[in-house]
Amino acid sequence: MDLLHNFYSGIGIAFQPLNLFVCVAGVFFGTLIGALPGIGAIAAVSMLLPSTFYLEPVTALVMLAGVYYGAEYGGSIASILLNIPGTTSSAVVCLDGNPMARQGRAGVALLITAVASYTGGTIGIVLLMAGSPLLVALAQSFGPAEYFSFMLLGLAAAGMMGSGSPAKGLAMIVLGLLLGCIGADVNTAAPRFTFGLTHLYDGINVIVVAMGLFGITEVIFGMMAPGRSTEVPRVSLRSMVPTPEDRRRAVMPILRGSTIGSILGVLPGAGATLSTFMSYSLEKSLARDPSRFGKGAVEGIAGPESSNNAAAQTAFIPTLTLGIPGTATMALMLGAMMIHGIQPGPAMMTQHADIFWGLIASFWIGNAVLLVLNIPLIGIWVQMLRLPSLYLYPTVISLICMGVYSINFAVADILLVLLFGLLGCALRLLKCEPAPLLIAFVLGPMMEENFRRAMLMSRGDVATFVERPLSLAILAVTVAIAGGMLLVSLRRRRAAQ
Amino acid sequence: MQIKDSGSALAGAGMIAFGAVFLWAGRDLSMGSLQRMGPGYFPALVAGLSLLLGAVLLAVSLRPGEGVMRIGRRGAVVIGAVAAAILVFGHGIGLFGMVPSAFAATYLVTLSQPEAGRRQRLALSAVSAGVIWGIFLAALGLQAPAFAWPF
Repeated sequence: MDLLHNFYSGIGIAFQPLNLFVCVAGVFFGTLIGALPGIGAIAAVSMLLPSTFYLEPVTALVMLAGVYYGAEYGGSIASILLNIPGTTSSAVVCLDGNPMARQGRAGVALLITAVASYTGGTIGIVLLMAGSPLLVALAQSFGPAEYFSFMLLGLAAAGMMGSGSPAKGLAMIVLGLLLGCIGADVNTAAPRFTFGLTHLYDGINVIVVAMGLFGITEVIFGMMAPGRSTEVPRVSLRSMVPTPEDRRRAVMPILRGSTIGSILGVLPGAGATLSTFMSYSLEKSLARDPSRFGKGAVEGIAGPESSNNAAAQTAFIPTLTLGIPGTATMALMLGAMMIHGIQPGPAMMTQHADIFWGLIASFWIGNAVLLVLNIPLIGIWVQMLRLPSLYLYPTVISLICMGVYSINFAVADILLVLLFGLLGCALRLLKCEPAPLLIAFVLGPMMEENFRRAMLMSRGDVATFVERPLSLAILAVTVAIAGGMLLVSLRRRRAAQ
Repeated sequence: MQIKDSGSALAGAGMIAFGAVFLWAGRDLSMGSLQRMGPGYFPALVAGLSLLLGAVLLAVSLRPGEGVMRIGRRGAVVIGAVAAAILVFGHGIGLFGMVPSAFAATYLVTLSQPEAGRRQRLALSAVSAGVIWGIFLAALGLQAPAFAWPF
């Protein structure tokens, strides 16, 4: 079978000793940074990105996959033990994870989190392998108009499906698009919005944007909370063993969650967040005794966690096959690939088959390494949470500065990261989510290019977007999502009054 | 007409400011036609959207909403300390090298944490400088000096 053969060759690449080593290192450092309360996967990946510049492309991506998984898991540790959710999806896991921790069952909650994310991830990867060739085939009939419409769909979904108000989400999208315009024009090389600074001629590096908006901001807000140390519960390896009752309760939610996540993950924009909520409410409605939810129900962790990870995997399908990232983390990964000279898109599967399959296999390995490494090391991570915030956050600021400087040896990048850090703080104070901004920042230049190409081909006729059936279908989905979200937010507003 | 959600109002004002700055900064870029767009076309379109969304947010702010987050004195001190640390690092790295810059930056950030004692701050900064040296010079072999002296 083709699929197995491809996966086998991918595993062969990912299992090379160096790749395996960097994957373990990536998981370790990813968990280390992700376990800092308030610091999410985007910040962790962006901080460790500069250190992968010296590696081969596949090796670098293997490491980043490890970092990503490690950071996600580290985030779950912090949110379950301290009830400080870093992301929307971990907020759902918190609902039942933290009550379990307060009942002295933090170990079980963490083990179920790890197993659920591994299972969800594995199912998502299988679908990723099976689905990618299909989407590549579809992508053959994609013209510039379809690409533009698909990106519009991703942006509309990302902007409107966040937890905040749709108007703010769309504003973040537009801000990202504006910032993406900075730099030389693709067609004429005319400098745009560089304000006379030669440094801005190549545009702003996506790593600088991510480290500022997420890294600096999250560290600042982490330090605002006064020190904590005593209320962290103890977690021993033995306390992680679930009871037979726990195991029985977790199996079906994991499978259902993986299914929901895999399907919704393909939808660019907000598949992961949406599927987490859907899985939680599904488990609650299926439960014989829904009142247990919110008080430490195992199902409330197992379902959402597996759906989140399955969605994270299938979200990679549009990223790899079309070059269109579905989540902010994927946007950063896409940026990393481009820095390494790989252009994701329909041609990647044929021209860079080794990287394509190696990358997919590495995601699975990152997932597996996480399970093997982090369960025995749980004591270390919990111990780290006991440290007052004072010890860790200041060092992270120095790490960010040095990491940014190491990209181009440019002091200007250090000043830019500060500007984006301050912007991130302002956005947080105004309760605007920065993730859509990052997606739009990466997609902006691609959108412009495809828009211009589509207009050139249709001789300036905007109707081309609705005359081409595939583009029309994508736009119809976009309008449906936007309309649906507007209705939801209006109803929420009315209910609040 | 009264603003009830200051968060949306400020965000709206910000979007209008961003849109205006980009429209002004891109005033010399050629627009071209819809068929052959110049470098100025797409940015002008997005800047227009920014103005529009700013207006929408201002309209939204007339109804009660999420408001703004308050950070208090401690928050302001943390932001100030981090900003100062990044500026010091940026200016120091070319003059004194990586290790002293990391030491100074970490020390400045710790000043925002009242729980720390002076000795703790110095020790932490030294560890941090060591970590930076270990990662970027020892492990990654970056071509940048650990120490430098400009005079």
